Amino acid sequence: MSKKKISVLRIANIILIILAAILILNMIIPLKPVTGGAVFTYETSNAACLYTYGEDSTEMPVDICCNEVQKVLRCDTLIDDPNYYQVCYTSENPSEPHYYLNSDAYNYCILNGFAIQKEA
Amino acid sequence: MHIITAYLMDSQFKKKLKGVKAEQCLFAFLLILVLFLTYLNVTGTYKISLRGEGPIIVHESKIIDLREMTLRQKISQMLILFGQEHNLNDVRLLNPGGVYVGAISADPQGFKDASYRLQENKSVPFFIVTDMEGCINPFSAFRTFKAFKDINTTEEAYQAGLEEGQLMNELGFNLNFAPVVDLEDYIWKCRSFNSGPVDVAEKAEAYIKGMHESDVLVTIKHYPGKTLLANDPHKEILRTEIEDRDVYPFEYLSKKADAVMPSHQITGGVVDTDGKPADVSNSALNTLRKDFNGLIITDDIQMLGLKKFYGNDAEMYIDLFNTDNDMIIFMTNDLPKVDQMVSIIEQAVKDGKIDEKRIDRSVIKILTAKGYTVL
Repeated sequence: MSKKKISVLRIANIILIILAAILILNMIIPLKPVTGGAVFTYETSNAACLYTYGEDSTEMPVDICCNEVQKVLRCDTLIDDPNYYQVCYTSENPSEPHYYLNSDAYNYCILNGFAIQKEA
Repeated sequence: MHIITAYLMDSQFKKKLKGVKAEQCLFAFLLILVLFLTYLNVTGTYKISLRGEGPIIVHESKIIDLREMTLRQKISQMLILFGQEHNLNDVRLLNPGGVYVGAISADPQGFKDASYRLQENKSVPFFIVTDMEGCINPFSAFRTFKAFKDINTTEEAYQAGLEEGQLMNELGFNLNFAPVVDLEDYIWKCRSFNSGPVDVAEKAEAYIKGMHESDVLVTIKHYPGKTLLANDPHKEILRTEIEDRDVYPFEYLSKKADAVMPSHQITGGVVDTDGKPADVSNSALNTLRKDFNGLIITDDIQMLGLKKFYGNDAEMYIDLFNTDNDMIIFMTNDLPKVDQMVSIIEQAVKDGKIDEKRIDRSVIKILTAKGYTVL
């Protein structure tokens, strides 16, 4: 019984030593970035971003939208809007630029490392 | 005999028991170690504290000896990072050449404080950068300006450059990612002067004059033109045909602008990017360099127009540094990723994949633009 237990523990310890060595190596030598983000990185099919400026409005490419939304002062959650989840702006004045993002666009921006402003 | 046998059996049992206990202790220790290392690897929290570099040595009369700069310091000078209220100290630690600051405050004092916190005790100050483009204005919570599309004369353009520049200077900004000299803007419908090539070039020239009189450097964008088109909101990589009229403003302003920002677009026609995004195309940047000797600053490398072109980030980073870009905008809140990028470039230089002289050329340009003499 003890022999079997020791063997199992020994194997587990060897595996843990190997894992620890790999993790330490990854911290010392810069390995190529992992590709785990690939699944969500390029999935934009349901994402939508609407830009409004005065009376004009345009649907814009999602990655450009994420990039611009980082630069604004604040984003608010839209509670009753069936189409959009967040509105982002620097000035509350409606004649200044506003960005409307649906939840897919918002999640896409967050998951891709864009620094979206938190609600005030 | 019986006693000896019993004693031997007992000591063997104790040995086994000790062995099990030792293995168990080792198991527990290794498990904790692996969990801790996994946490460090996933969050990357160890990286900044490990790789932070000291200040650049500056001699009397603002002289910097390139030989006294480490490779990491040089690479970092070529980066423009995203500064936010919560990360300014970490950004300072990474020592980039520039910090992009968006609308971080609803009042002027917030911007002044941020600029002061960034520049305080820096041996070489940062470029503090924003997009000040009339309608796209990080200060619109307390000050609005005319959209470029509504600027009708060169005098109005000069006045806009002067007033926007004065505000930027007052708030601690010294580099503007404007004016846009794309001839049309179909996305925002306000960022371009929205007229023919000659008119756009002359208005941009007047705007630049106003900015320069306010001691703010300017960036004309996005080379080689036709960037602000959005025929398909789900298509990230755009291909366009460039005509002479598109590049006219860039040629006209080549001796007046401090920086040019190439786009992530793949273009054909008079500027052929050889099937690559413009900012990683030697062909496009060589064409630009024929007339222009200032800074070439990429657009944000987080954007899919560039990212989707590459299989992995390391390959993209190396291409960006191997092309004639002087500064690279990396707008991410993942600062360990930036640190990793610097390490990848450092290693690529050591492996001979990137020529250090190429990096030196850009660093000289950046430091010269900041007012230093580089030996």
